[in-house]
Amino acid sequence: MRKTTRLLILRRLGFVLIILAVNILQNTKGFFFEPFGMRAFLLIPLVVSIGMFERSYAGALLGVLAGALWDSASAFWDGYNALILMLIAAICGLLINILMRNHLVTAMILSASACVIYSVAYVMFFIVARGLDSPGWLLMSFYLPSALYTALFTPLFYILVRAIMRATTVEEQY
Amino acid sequence: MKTFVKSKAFRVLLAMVIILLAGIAVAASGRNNASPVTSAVSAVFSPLSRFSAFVSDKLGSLTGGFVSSSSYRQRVAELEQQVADYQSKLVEYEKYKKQVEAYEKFLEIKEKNPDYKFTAGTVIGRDSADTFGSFKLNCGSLDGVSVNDPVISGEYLIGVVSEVTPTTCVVLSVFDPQVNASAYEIRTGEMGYTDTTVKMASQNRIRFAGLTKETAIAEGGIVCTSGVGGVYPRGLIIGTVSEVLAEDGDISYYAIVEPEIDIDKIQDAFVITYFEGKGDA
Repeated sequence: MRKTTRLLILRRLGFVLIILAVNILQNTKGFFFEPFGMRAFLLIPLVVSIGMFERSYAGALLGVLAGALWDSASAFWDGYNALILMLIAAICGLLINILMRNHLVTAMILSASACVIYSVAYVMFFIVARGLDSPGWLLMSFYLPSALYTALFTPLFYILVRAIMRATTVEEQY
Repeated sequence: MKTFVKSKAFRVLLAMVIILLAGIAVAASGRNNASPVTSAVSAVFSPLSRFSAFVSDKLGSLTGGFVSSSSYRQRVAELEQQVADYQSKLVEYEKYKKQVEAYEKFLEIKEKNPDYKFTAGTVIGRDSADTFGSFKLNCGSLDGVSVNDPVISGEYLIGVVSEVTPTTCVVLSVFDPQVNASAYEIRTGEMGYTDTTVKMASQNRIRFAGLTKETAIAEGGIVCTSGVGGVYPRGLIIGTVSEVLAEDGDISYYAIVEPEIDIDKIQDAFVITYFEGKGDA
């Protein structure tokens, strides 16, 4: 097997393992700090970082995996998180390809935006669409604070994903 | 000889002997059994004795450390192993104790309700984006679980199964606004139904609605499932009434019910897979 293929497999495997670990951290009660009731949706900044480096296709597939794991603990709309995280990863990959540079600042911007969009979409689909009361209150008191809390962890995931990329990329010599 | 007896040295020697003999006599007759000479010498030289004893002690422990460090290491390793053994036994003990407590609750419910069929489950995860407390159990369709099976902890209703896979199921908690149960208050017998709002769910409260203005329900009343509708068996405790309020916009009343059980802390639960009257509308 060529060295580049081997490294590619190792890289993807590494991302899969990290997704599994972060899913456990996120979706197991008591495993992650919840200050003032805010929760960290850690899979979102992870998927953003992976999408920025792996770009559209591979990032989207890994986003589907992350979302499917999240869906296994979710009570509503199986496949919703898989779809959303896939779109987040794919769009981040496309934006880095076409429009933005790949560095920590863009990672923070993309991650914070993804968290806010996820929160708004969740409230729209699972609170407003179900006819429940006080969607605005829930958005302002829980989802938006949680989205901002989640975005704080973006540098951690960005640096981790970047380190894995650097360790598993072969520089072509001409 | 004569010269020696007359010499100064002999006189000094004799004086010393006499003094020492006198000291002995004094020591023998005295209370402390110590002669003045001994007392004076010990007063002057005891600090030196103490210092030399201190040095000797330290040297002894130093050499003792060099000599027996391997035996100390061995002893430490043995003690660490013992502590690790005791800790693992303690963990096993706590595990079995929890299991026994769960089986005791199971037996108590089974004795009261012989028609129930249960499956035991452990909470293995929850959706971090869901604020209403839904959680995932490690039992599924292979264990006989199906959608809309009630989930209990002891005698308390804690939720209903909303999604099932072969090995897991997701449970909506009683704080989910989607979960409604036909209920009654045990003292007055008044019937109603439970639901909740987003704000009340965030405070871990449920509404017991559908009460008339003549309601006699008061604080402290216990609300249980009534069995009407065939989804929940009769008699599962939902919670305790904390206050009774009038509805906005109509003449009915509702009671605020607070479940006694903290759903966030639940680790084990039972899914009722069958009960008499299940599915009877």
